Amino acid sequence: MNFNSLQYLIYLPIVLILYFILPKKIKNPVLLLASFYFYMCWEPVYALLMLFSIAATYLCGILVEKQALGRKKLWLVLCLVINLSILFFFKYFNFFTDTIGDVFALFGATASLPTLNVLLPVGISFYTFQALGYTIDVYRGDIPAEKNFIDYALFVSFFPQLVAGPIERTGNIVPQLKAPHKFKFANLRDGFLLILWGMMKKVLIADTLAIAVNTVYNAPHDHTGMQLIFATLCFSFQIYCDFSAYSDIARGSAKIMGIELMRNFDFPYGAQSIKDFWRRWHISLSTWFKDYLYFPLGGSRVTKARHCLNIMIVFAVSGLWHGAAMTYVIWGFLHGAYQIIGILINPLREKLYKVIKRNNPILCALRILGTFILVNIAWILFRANSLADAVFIVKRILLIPFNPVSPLSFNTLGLSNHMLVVMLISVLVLVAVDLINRKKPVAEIINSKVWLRYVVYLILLLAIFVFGYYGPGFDPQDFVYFQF
Amino acid sequence: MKKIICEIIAFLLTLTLFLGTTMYLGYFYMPTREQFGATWNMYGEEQENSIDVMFVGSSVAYCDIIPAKIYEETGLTSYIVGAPNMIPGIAYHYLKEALKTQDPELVMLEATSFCFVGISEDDSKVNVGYMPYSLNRLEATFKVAHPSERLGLLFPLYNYHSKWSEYSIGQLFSPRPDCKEDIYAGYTYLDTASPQEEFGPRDYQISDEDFGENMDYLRKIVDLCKDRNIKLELFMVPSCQYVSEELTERISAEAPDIPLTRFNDNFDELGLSLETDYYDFLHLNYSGAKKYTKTLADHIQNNYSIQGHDHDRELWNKRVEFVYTDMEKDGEEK
Repeated sequence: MNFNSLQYLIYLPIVLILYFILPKKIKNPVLLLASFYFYMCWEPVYALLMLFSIAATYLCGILVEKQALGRKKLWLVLCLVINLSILFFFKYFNFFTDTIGDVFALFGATASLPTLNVLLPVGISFYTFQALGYTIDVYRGDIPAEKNFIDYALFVSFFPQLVAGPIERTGNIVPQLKAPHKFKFANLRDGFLLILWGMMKKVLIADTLAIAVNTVYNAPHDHTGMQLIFATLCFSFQIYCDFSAYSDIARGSAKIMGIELMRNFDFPYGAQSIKDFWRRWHISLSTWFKDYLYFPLGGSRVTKARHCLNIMIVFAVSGLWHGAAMTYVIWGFLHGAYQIIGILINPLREKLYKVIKRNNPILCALRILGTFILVNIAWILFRANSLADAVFIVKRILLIPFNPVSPLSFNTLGLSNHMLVVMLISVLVLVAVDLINRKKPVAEIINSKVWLRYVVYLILLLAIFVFGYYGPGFDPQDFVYFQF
Repeated sequence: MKKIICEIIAFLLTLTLFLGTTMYLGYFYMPTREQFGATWNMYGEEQENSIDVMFVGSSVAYCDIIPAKIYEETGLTSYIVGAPNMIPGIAYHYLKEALKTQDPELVMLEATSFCFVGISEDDSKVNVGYMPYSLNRLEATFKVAHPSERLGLLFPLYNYHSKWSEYSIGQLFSPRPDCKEDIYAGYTYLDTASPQEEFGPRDYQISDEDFGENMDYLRKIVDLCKDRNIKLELFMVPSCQYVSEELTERISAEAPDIPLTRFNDNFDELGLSLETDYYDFLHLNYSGAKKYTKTLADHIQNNYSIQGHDHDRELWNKRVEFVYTDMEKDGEEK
C-alpha cells in the first residue's frame, strides 16, 4: 500500500479514528495490527520475517541487559549475526556471488555459484537497522531493554516509518508510543499540511521528473551530453522530492497521532560541503552510521590516515546499504573520497578564509554550487542502470565542449514544454520553502492565519489533482527508497 | 467558539471550491463529443419540450436514422439519444435523463440492445461519463458502469487532468466547443460502403441471468413511459446480421403490450442494397439510412397520431438543408 494511493487515503483515517476512540490499553496492540496489515499489503509472508527479526532483537535486548549466561557481548553479536544474515540472504547474496564470479573471470576462471530467486522484502534495510540500533543502545546501557513485546514490536513496525524511514531511535519513539495521546486539532492541522506537502512533492514533482530521467537513463546512448546533464539534474530533484515526500507523509501521519518522528531532510541542496550535505540528507541514516559505525571505529579521534579510512568504510557500507550493486558501492566510495579530499584540503581552505570571509555571499553561493555539482556527479552512479552506463554518461558529458553544440530538445525526453514550466515553478517553490524553513518553520507561518492555511491547502490540492502524475495512462512510481 | 466557527466556515468553503473547481475542470477537459452517441452537451442545447419522437438505442440507431429526413417526410421532430454498445441499463438511464428536458409523444427503443451483455471500461467512460451530473448519473455509475471506471466517473478529473495544457485559462471560462445545437439531431453520418455477403441471424450469446437483468430494465423503461404517458415501441433496424426470431420472441414476451417491429421481416420492401447501403454487417451508411428512414417515417405516420410540439422551425429547416448541402453533396462527390 503506497502512501500515494487511494487505499492509504482510506486506511489512514480508519486507523486514526480507531487509535483515538479505543481505550489506551488496546491502542498499541491495534496500532501494531494495523502496522502489520500495512506491511502485508506488499508481500504477506514477509511479515513473518519482520516478526522474526522483532522477536530476535527483543529477546537479545533482554538477554544483553540481563547478561544471560554471564555474557553480554555474545547476545549482541548473536543479534547482529541473525539480522545481518537475513539482510545478506535477501539483499546481498546474489551480489556476492556475482562479484565472486567477476573476480574469478578476471583470472580467466569460471565459478559456478548458486543464485537466489527471492523478492527483496520491502523496508528490510530500514527495520533491520532500527532494530539493531535498539540492541546496540541496550548493550551500551543508553536505554533499558524494552520488556513490553507489543510496544517494542510497534516501535520496529510502526507503519508511517516502517518501509522507508526515518530510521528512528528507541529513546525517541518508545516513550511516545507508551504515552497517552488524545486527539488535538493542532496535530491534525500540522500533520495534514505535512502529508499534503509530501503528496505534492511525490505526485507532482518526483513522478513527473521521473519521466525524463527514465527516458534518458534507460537509453543513455541515444541522448546527448546536455540531455544527460538535464536528466541528472531532474534526478537530483526526483530523488530528493521522492524520498523527502515519504518522510513528510510518514511524519504527518504520525503527527496526527501525536507522535513526532525525526526530520530526515534539511534543505540538502543548500549544503556548502559534502560533509554539510550528509548532515542534511537522510539524516536518520547518516546519524545511525555515525553513532553505530563511525564512532565505534574511532571517528575523527584517531590518526588522519585512520580517520580517512573510517570515513571510507562508513560510506562504502552506506553505499552497500542503498543497494546490492557496484554502482551503489562506488557511489558510496565517491562520497567518502569527496570528504577525504575535503579533509586534506582543509588547511588551504582555512588560508582562503583569512582572505575572504567564510560567510561571504559569493563564496557561499560558489560552495553551494560546487557541492551541488559534486552530488550530481555522484547521482549519475546512483541512478545509472550499470557501471558501464555510468561511465558512458560521464564520458559523454565531459565531451560536450568538444562536440558541436546540440540543442537540448526537452520534448524528446517525454516532458512537454508546459510540464517543464510547471516543474520549474514547483522546484523553485520547493527551494523557497526549504530556504524559509531554515529561518522559521513555514508551517508556523501558514498556520498563523486560518485563511492562509486553507488557501495553501486549496493550492496544494489543486496542484496535485490538475498537474499530478496519476490516473489512467500514468504509471505511478514506487517510492525510490522502497527498493532499499 | 469563534475560532471553531471560523475553522468550519473555512473548511466548508475550501471543500466547496476544491470540489467545484475539480468537477468543473473534469467536465471541461473531457474530449469534445459531437457524434457516435453520448452527445449530451449537444442534447442539452435542444429546445425544451420540442421533440415529438425520441429514438433510443445503440450505434445501430444513431447510424441508421436521420431525424432531418423524418422531419422532411412527416413534419415531426425527432432526436436520437444513443450510446455506443448501449446495454439496457444505459438505455434506461439515458431515457430517464432525456425526459428531464423533453416530453416526446413516442419513444422508439431499438431492441437489439436487449441482446447485449456487460459493459466495457471504455463504454462506461463514454456512456456514463458524458451524462450530465445528476443523481441519475450517480445511479448509473454504481449500478451499470464497469466497477473499475467508477472513480473516474465520480471524479472525472482523474481521467482527464492531463489535458490541462490544451487549454488557456481564458478558454476555461467559455462554453465547451460541443455545447451547441446538433445539426444531426443525434445522427452519425457514415459514408463508406462495405458490400455485405452474409445475411442471417447473429448468434448472441446471452445467459438466462443476463437476459433476465436486461428484461428488468425493459420493464423499468415500460413503467417510465407509462408514468409519463408516452407511447413506447420496440423496433429492430434492418441489419445483415440480425437478432434471431427466437430471441425477438423472448423479448416481446416480456412486454406483450408493447409493439415490437422487426424491419428485417420486410427487408425486400426497404429497397436496401447489400452492395451499397451498408457500412458493415450491422450498420447502414448514409445511403442506406436515407432509405430506411423513409420507411421508418411512414411507419410512424401510419401507426401513430402525433400532435407535434412547438419547435424551432428555422433550426429544423437548417437541418433538412444540411442533408442536401452537406451529406448529399458529400455522397455525390464520392
